[in-house]
Amino acid sequence: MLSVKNLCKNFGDYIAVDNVSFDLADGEALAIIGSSGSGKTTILRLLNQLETLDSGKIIGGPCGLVFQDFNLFPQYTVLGNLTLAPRLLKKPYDQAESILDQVGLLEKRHNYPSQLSGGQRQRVAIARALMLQPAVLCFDEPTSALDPSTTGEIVKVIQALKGRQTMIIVTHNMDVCSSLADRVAIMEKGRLRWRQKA
Amino acid sequence: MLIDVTRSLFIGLGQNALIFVVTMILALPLGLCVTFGEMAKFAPLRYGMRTFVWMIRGTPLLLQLFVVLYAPGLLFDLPFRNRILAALIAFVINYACYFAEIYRGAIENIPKGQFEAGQVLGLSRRQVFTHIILLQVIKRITAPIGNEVITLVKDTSLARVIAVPEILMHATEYTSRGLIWPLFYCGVFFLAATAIVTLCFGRLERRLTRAFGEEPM
Repeated sequence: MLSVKNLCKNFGDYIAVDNVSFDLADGEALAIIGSSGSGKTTILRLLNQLETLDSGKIIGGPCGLVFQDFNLFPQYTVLGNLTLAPRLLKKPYDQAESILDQVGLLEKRHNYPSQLSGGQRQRVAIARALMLQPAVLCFDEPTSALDPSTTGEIVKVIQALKGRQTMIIVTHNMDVCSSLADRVAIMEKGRLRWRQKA
Repeated sequence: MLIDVTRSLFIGLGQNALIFVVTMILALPLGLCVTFGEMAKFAPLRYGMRTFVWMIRGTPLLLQLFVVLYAPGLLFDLPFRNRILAALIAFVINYACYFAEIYRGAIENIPKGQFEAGQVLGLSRRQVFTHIILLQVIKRITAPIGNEVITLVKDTSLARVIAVPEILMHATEYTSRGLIWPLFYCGVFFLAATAIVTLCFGRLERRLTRAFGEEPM
């Protein structure tokens, strides 16, 4: 469960997030849509402590984040990318292979990111985020860097998580929205409006 | 005659090698400290370090050799007696500043997402730097550091201006006796040394490329 209360974030005079509140039940998937610069990504960054809050409260977590451009570590293999953080944080990492199996990349575990396609890299990024068993997994435009055929591949992986993983998906893609989200919110000039799912 | 000249030049080359090795051993890590200073959040340290680097990069190494040798004597009445030590200090400081700029450029060019990905995974700043950023920085700096190291091989002959008996100084002793060819012969030694450095850095670059799962060109 995640509870976000009166979240505010300004960058100088620019209001990025303006008094945003929402609750998310366990296993629920929320999609946030909106134009560029509307503050969608800032919400994910606030949830993941990549930005500091001006005011408001976040109850729940920890969160994980799948970046728009993957941000895999190029010097580590697929398996290395998954196990690096748990290894350094002295947390269990023997689940890495089963998570890779879930995202269909077990046979690529010894490959480096440079040897993978865009869709495969995104699947590794999802698997890496899952390693630390986040209470809420955030996706920042998970398909925007991918071609339409690969988008389907990623949608399937996220769909497989639905119901057992609480998720927030920031996207421009309405198909992704309708196939993955339980609830849809529209972000406009830093404010969140709710919309009935189509 | 050739044997005599070769032997004499090898003795001089020992001084060049000493300057080269000590500069490499000390300037590479010192450069990283300078980089951290240049990138520090504490503004006086950051500006102080950037001004220092600007002064060192903005003046000739030749001049810095004179400053290190003569400034302690002129300012504090503590003349520098050990000329090779003065040369080593000047070289280490000069090259640390050049290396620092290369490190800074490489660190600043690592995509911000690499730092953020580590942070999101719960790693500390130190863990992010040592386990994620450092090897990427090393890969990026190998070629420009290689260039600097080749320049260092040749720059070691500048120590001659403060009377460090390096290879060119040995060669010019023959010139003063009317023998010019030992001076040109020095070029062979420098070519051999730069060839070794070039080969080593080429091998390192290929190894690092493979460490990232890429095919060397």
